[in-house]
Amino acid sequence: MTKLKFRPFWSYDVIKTQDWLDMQCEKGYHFVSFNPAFRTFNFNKADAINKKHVIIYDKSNDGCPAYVSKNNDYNEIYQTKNYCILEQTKEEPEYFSSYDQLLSRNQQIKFIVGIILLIQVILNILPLALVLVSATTGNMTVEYEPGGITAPTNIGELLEGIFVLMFMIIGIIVQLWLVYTYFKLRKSNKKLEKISVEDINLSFTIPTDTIISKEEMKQLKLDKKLVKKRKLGWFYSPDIHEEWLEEMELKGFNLIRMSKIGNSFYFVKGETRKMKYHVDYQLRKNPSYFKINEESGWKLYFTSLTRFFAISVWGQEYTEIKPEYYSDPESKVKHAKRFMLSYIVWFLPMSLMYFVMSGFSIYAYVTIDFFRDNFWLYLTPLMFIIAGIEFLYFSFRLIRYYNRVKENY
Amino acid sequence: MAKSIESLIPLSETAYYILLSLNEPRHGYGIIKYVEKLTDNRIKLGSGTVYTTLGKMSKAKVISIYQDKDRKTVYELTVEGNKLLELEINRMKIVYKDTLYQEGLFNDKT
Repeated sequence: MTKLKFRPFWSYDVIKTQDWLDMQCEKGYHFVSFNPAFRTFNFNKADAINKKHVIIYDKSNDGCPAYVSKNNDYNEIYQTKNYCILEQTKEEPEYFSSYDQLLSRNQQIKFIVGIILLIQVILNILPLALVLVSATTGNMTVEYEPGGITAPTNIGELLEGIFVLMFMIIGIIVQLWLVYTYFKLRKSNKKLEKISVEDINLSFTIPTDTIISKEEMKQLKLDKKLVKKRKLGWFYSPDIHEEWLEEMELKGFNLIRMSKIGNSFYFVKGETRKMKYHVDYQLRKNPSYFKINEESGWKLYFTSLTRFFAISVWGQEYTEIKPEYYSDPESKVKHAKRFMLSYIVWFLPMSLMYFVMSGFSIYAYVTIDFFRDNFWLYLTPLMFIIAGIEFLYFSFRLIRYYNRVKENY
Repeated sequence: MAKSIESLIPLSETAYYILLSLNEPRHGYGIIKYVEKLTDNRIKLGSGTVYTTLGKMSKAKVISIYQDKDRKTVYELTVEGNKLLELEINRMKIVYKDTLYQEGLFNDKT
């Protein structure tokens, strides 16, 4: 006897789904196959036993990874193009599947959904807030025309009404689904990170071990030992600031921490240190990213909140030979290229957009009386021009950075 | 689509040594240490280099990633990876043979 079970959001929390499969087995329903398109799981009724299931997401391999058949720790039950469901046969297997790929897939979805939600918040809530503020300060009156809801008089109107209603319902469902996806993934990603032993303790963007208590900070300030340097947009020329940090260390200013948005550096006056700093850019940070760097002796000072397009600041003390983050010239240049490209593909179009917008608004002032009568609106094209120049300048600095790296290696 | 292994040839010295060190599953820092030992401190791989190279390799299906008993990430060559390494080792042998032959000719001249 077979049984079909529907689990629409099974991939949002794979660990829970694994446990769920184990539980079904305890009830006597043995998992046989599943259909990822319909999100349905098929079970066979048999004796109730204990079985441990493992779900592997592997995009790069056609079929189960090679280590599965090694040591006979696992039995393959079912596989699709990207997923592989196994039965763990030994209590303590030699090897475990890595959740790296699954984690980065979930992080990617979370990242995209997060951006959609953020744009929605900006687009919907900001104008609403503006309306509310101007309504309460009395500068604007919201006119409301009481028309009331009238019953539809003919089939056409009725259909139109149903159509609009359906649209609204679908809109709400999609919205709820997006919010659910975001928060569910956030929770399950944390679980996966824990399993992947990503034992990096971050407070927002800075490692917790670099944080010093407020009292300590006050004391350091009183002793005139603490120096705070603010650098705006410093990561558009990372190499110059790496050198700057290294020079500060040679002068005896030891970097102790950075601010949460990464624009300030806190130094404590102390011993001269030979330090090597590296500002790293990664398209994607896996759990193994922090592991390998820390084991190689690098200390983390800052890392972007997002796991994508992330900037991290690493430092390492040395005695004789300067350690290299990228040991071969090829990957050094490639890193700089990635760094530059991933920013200027945004910045150059942005800059262009601002210039075009400033052109449009200047045109509007010349032709429309309404704009001409409001003096403060004159600032708008100016602001657009400033923003345009800013993005152009950032791009220019990044290109210069890339050229410097390329010439040096 | 993953690239065919032929498109990865010739490997950079770094990539070659990383693959060469994977005669058994190793974790990231283990690779760095092993290559250091193997080359008698000639090559000290930077962690950034290893991280990006391993990422590239796993995308090309040359290595697979999983975890050991302590839940530490380890890397192992796949069947494709073994093929790639074999091709590269054979290429290196030819390079070595040619080098020795030419070296002899150069030495005869002097």
